[in-house]
Amino acid sequence: MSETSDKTTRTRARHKVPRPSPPPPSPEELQEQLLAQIAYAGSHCAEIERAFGQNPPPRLETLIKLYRVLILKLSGEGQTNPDQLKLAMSLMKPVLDWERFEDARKERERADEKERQTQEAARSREAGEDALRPETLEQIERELSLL
Amino acid sequence: MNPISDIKRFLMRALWRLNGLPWPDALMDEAARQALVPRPLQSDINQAKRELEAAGFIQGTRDELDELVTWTLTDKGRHKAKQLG
Repeated sequence: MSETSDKTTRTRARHKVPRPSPPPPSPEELQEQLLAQIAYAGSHCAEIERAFGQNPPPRLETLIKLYRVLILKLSGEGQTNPDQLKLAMSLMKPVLDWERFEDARKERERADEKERQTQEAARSREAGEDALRPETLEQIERELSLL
Repeated sequence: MNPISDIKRFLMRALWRLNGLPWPDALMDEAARQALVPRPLQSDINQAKRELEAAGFIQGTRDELDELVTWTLTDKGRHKAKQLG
């Protein structure tokens, strides 16, 4: 008995009723989808440009402009594959990383230069290089005695 | 159905979503073609842009180097686009 019911269940499982495919989106839905894509692309581009600051170097400025055109182009296409847009958006990540690395390197160089100047000043103080010269000392004594 | 007003409405809504980011002219045209059914004619899109510009809702800027035109909303346009949603 149980064997027959198992067989019936397996037969039923093999002949599954296909799920109805979702209806195609209406023109209004497509338009809203496109507008959402454009909004997403716009906010992403604004974020990227903020990350590079007010006045990026000219070579980066050109790259940012090209990137903006690419993202806006992809976002304005109704049949854009979302993965394609995400892939395009990931293109800027290495540039951002490089820019941060450059900023960190410049900061380190500034700190090293400051340290070097501090050490040089300390060395010259120890050597008495910034002490009063004997001629200056005599002049000061003469002026004080005149007073 | 007035295709010009539909195009104008879409362009305003899309520009508002860009939040001040300049939209290149060619990409704006392509988006309008993709967004509307039936697909609008280029002449209709051009007329929509002209009317929006004449009404003071959008402004075009021509790049000095490559002479490409980009569009943004004016203050008046932002106010109107916000109402459209």
